[in-house]
Amino acid sequence: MNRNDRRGFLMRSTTVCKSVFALGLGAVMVLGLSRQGATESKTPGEASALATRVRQPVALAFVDDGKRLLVANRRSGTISIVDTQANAVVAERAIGGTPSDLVAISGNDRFLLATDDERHRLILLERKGIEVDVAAQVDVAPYPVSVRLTGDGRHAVVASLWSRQLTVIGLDGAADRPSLPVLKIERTIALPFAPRCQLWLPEARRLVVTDSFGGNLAVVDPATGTIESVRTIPGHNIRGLALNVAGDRLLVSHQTLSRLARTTFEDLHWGTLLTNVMHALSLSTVLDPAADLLKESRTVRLGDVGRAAGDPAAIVATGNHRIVVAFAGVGEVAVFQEGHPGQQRISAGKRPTVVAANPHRPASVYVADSFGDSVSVIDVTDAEVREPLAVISLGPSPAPNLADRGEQLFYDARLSHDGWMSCHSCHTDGHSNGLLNDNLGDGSFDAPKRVLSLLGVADTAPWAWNGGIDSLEAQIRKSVATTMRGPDGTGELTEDQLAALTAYLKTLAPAPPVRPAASDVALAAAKRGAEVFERIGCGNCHAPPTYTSADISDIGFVDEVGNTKFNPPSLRGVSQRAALFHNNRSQSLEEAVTSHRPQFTKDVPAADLADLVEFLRSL
Amino acid sequence: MQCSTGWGMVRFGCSQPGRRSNHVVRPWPCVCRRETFRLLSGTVMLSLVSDPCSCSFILGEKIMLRRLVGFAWLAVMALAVSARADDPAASAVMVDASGQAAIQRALDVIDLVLEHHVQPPTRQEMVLHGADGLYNAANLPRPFRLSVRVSAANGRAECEEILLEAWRKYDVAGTVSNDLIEKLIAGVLRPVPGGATLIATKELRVQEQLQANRYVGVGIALGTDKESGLTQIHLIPEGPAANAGVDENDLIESIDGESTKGLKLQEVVDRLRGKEGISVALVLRKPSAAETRTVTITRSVVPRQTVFGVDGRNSRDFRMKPDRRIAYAKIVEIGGSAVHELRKIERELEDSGGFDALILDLRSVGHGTAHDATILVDALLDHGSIGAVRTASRVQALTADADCLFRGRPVAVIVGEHTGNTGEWVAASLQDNHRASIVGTPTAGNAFVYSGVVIPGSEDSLSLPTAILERPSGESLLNAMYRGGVTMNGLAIMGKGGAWGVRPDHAIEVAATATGPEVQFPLGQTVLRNRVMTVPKIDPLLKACEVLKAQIATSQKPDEQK
Repeated sequence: MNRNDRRGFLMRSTTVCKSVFALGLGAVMVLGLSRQGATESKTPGEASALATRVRQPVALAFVDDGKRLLVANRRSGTISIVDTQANAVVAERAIGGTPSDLVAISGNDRFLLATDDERHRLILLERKGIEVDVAAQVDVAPYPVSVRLTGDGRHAVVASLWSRQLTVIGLDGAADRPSLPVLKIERTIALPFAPRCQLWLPEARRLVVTDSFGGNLAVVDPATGTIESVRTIPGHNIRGLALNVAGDRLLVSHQTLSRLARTTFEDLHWGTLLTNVMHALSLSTVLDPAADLLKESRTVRLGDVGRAAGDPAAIVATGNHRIVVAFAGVGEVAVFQEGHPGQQRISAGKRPTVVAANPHRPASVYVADSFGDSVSVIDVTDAEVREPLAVISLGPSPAPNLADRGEQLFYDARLSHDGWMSCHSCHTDGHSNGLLNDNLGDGSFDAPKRVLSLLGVADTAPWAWNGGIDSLEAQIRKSVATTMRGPDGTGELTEDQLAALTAYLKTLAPAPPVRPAASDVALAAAKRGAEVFERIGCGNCHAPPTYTSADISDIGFVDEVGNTKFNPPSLRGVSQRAALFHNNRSQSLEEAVTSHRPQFTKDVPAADLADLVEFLRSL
Repeated sequence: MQCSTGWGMVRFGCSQPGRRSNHVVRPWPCVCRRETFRLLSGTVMLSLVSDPCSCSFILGEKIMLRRLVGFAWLAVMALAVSARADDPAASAVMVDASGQAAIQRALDVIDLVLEHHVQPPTRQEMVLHGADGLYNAANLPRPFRLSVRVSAANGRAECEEILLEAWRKYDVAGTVSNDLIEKLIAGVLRPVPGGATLIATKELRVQEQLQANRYVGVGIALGTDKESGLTQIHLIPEGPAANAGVDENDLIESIDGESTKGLKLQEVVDRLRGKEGISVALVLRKPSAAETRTVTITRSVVPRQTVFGVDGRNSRDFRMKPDRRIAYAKIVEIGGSAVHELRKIERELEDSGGFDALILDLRSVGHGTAHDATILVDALLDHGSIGAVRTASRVQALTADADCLFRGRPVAVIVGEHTGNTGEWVAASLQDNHRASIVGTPTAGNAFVYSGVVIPGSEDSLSLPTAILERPSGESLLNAMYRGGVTMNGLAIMGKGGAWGVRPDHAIEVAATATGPEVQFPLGQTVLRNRVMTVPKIDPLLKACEVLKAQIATSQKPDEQK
């Protein structure tokens, strides 16, 4: 997009947010990398012969002055090449792995960068016409989910989810071939949260990085590796970042979950429990580390009572002052004008997550549907937009299997009353938004509890904080009925839906630790910590290998309505939790090990506790 | 003993004692008291009628008035009721049968108060007052040493004996008398702090729907056309009837093929009720025309506007006149949709040229749930303490989450003597957090939260204070007399002392006009009037504008100096 800026294109920003799919998904197609050429080759005339496969498009990049659009497909490890004049796929090229993002390198139509979050790499792609080859690759911090370029085009910044790091990569040309970028890792920057979206602020020469789960927003100077500020917006699930056309506001799409609201029909219905919003933050406030982030901000509520806009995703601001936001959960995009009432809503497939405006025809907006394996083209020239100009199929898809259907339901806000929320709205990408929610999990209101991660959920029976539910199916059924208050009409999941959701949840593996113990010193500390864990009896309740057990026990905490017994949450991936315990009372593992069951830890030497924490971090 | 018609509507007293009300009646917790009031004045009967409510709060005018006339004096005056002792040989068995049923009911009510009231009186207090009610009804003095006997009474059985004894003094004929049951229950509830009322459970469900703004119905109010005698329609804006093409003042000829001629209003209401999604066909005609037309209405949620603009009911003009840069929103009830409505108002104001400040008028807010009020305060505060909700077993301290409506703009909250319950708590929270300037006259000082509890084995519920709302500063909002347990059902209080309620930052003097007959309560001590009308000496709206303009000017000054 810096290229767009430099050339004075009208498009000021594009989406940075990709849908993420749970790690550990079984059916990941791994294709061999080939320097020699693509494993498949299609001429425009052969487009109809595209393979039948699950694709899941996650990123869009325009090349050749907007005449071609490249689509990165996560599940198939391919790049679809779309002719934007014919609005048709002209080729599909395998690059292998699981692409999580794709950008074109500025001022250089030949090269693109893609992240691969399963093999933890940044890949340099070289394109000649409709041929795409892997030119180079470099290991980056584990689980890279997005890549952006700095304004001068000389650096790429990769955000890595579970390892909570940014990797800054130099792109200067090789000595013998200046046009060929050489990927050179310059630095890594550790973040205090798991990042996802990124946006380069061209004038300020700063990068905005946002939280994948909670509401953290960091302003980073990649040139020096300085994190200038980390502040939170009141919300979670930030899935869209863009600058408005005037360049003075940062548009952030996200959700909010009220700690004070209850999961009653009324609170959901009136938008009290969960809201889908776009915050228009003042850019000067964003850049001033001391400022209250919300000062001068405007809140645009997406959707309305009766017709909600679950799971807002990517945002794009087009040259004619239109803003396009994807409503991923309800399969729509909204088009509205800055400062004007009204939101025009257009159907855009099953789960539209990525939006990009064509730099040469900024009123042409492309929307990728990650579950429909298609790209919709929407013309926003006129105020009245009724339907997409074209829907480009990326190729034939097989009938989805049970777990895939479950995945589609997991991200489907139409399972909830009026489309306010999907499972993903709180269990963000199967993990957790980390917030407190007052639901009927414990059978009554007034004692809000932290949303539990579903990563590794299959192994953590019984479910709910009080361990009151013995089957995963019953928990899913209850959550959809008493939290999401849906589905509208029947109020009950069908048996097939229930089976599909259960099958999907069972594919979710526990989150990896933020920093696996790598050095000898850390390994030794973790090993000593494991002994402390065993010695002081942590394993009685948090029994390996799942680090949980079926019992409920009183650990000295009383919730607001007098409950004292809780089922021990699994400690796998515990380092990924922003706050701990049922009410987020502890902000760190150090605090947690000393504040709960103090009778266990009061006589343990400080050094042993430090080792214990190191051990927990390694889980 | 079966619930008779109107039993559910019997109101033994205004549960907001001390309310200096200028209305004839403010039955609580009727969320539609305005409509009820209109009913009494004989003009419009609102048909907020739905399926769960077969015993609607819309009753015949006569029944209603009788109850109302009755209740106000019950608590303090012995009514001269001639004892119906025509047949002294009436069977004692019959007396006991009717009496025992009534007394079991009274004891059930006492148990519910003990279990659910935030600060219940003792069982003995309620029994003593219940017995008093019966002796008063029989125009007999309280027996010697009754207080001593009641004080020594333990458990239900002994209390039952005491009450039965009193019952026999009156009900010698063995006839079931609803009046007497009323007097017994009224007596029992008299020492309950904050008051308590019986309400038909079905009516309670309707009120819950109304509170949540999820009321299911056809969306019309009913009146009677004097000329034709037919039922006349008053539309609720954007309701199902309005959307189906029904016009204001249309007359209903028939409902689902059945003529309305000769039907009582209540019977018309019953026929209009039904479940969500089920249709009803009306044959309508204009008052001046002869031709009829058929309109089919599907019953659905009737959205009600609960936040009004400057022009009164259903007004959507949210700007002051002539100060159009000052926004105005009058919350008439804090229900499930209040925050949603305020969000829309903010958006509308921003999209139509912006605004500089807001007046939030809470003068009409005198009930609601703690939850809805909490959500409202959270929406108005960027951070800070909302206050606390005290129930019988715990205190729940509440804090606001980040982000708020009307950010960065001065807010003035207008309060008055009718601002009570959740309304005064909201005002107090905004005051303690310095989020708003409070303008007007002192509030009611009755920050209770009322909930309905079903009386086991009956079709009725008890509405009683289950929580006390506490302001962030920790000071009590409750007028001392509500704390102590003596309530003065249905009576207004002249004069007041001590710090309670919300004291406005910009108080407006009032000229009090006393109305209604005088009555001494407690006997020989204070002279009270049953209704007191107070009139502010200046318009609180003008004062609020003045306050806000000063604040806007102050906030703009530093910028000018730059």
